[in-house]
Amino acid sequence: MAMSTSGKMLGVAALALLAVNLVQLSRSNQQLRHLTQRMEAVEQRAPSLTAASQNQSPAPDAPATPRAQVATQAPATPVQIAQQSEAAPRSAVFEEMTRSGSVDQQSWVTFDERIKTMTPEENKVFWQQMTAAIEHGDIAVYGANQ
Amino acid sequence: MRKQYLWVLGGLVSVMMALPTQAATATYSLVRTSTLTNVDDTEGRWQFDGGDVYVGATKVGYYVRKKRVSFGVPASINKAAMEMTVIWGSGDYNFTVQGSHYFGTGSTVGGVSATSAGFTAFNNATFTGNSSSLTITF
Repeated sequence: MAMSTSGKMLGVAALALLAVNLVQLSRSNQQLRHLTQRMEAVEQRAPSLTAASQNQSPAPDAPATPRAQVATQAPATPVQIAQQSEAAPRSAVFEEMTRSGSVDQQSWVTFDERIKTMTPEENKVFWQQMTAAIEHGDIAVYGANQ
Repeated sequence: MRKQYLWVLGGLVSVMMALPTQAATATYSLVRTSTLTNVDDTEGRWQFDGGDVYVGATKVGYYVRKKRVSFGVPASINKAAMEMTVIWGSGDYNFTVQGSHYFGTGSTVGGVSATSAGFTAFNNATFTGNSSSLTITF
């Protein structure tokens, strides 16, 4: 008898829970339907919103700031590369040879032995610097104009 | 464990040593001061010229150039063998380039074939250019 009473009570409780769940499910369905309708409405308006945003000038609010930061940060890279290239190896022979700001026949005679006994890598640095200095007019070269 | 570290360290050093150094370029302007001269023979034609070599606005030396056109190369190819020696204006520095010259565009490509002791940086270098310019990549 006690078992059947508790069984009934359990059955009632289960039915009550089921009813509550059904109500919640119904509400969820309604919310879902409502949300779907809103999404459809937004999708329908999307093309007009996109066109409107393209026609508008950038708003002075948050989205403009990251773009501005990117624009100001972009030129930094070439500057960094330029600084790195300035730190390239330098030729001691070139520095000594061009200390006076000019190179003449005597300079080549004086430094002849050192230039001719450089390793290819030292020679490369020497000619890189020499060519760049002549090209940019940093040093005057005498001897080839006669 | 220590051996593993040594292997890793050795590998890193090997990779660093194997990395090629950054290529540099040197561009020379060629200004002809002699008369471009053709000398024909039964096999083909020689073409000679020479002049001044400039880096930027500064004269640094001279060039002597010869091209060889052979009847053995079809006319449609329109290319000659080219050899040019650049003689530095001071000291006994020079280098020689060899390659081909395409008469269709005037372009010249090839490599540095000989250098004096002062131009060892140009060993195994390549070049591009035309009748009035030469760029060495070394």
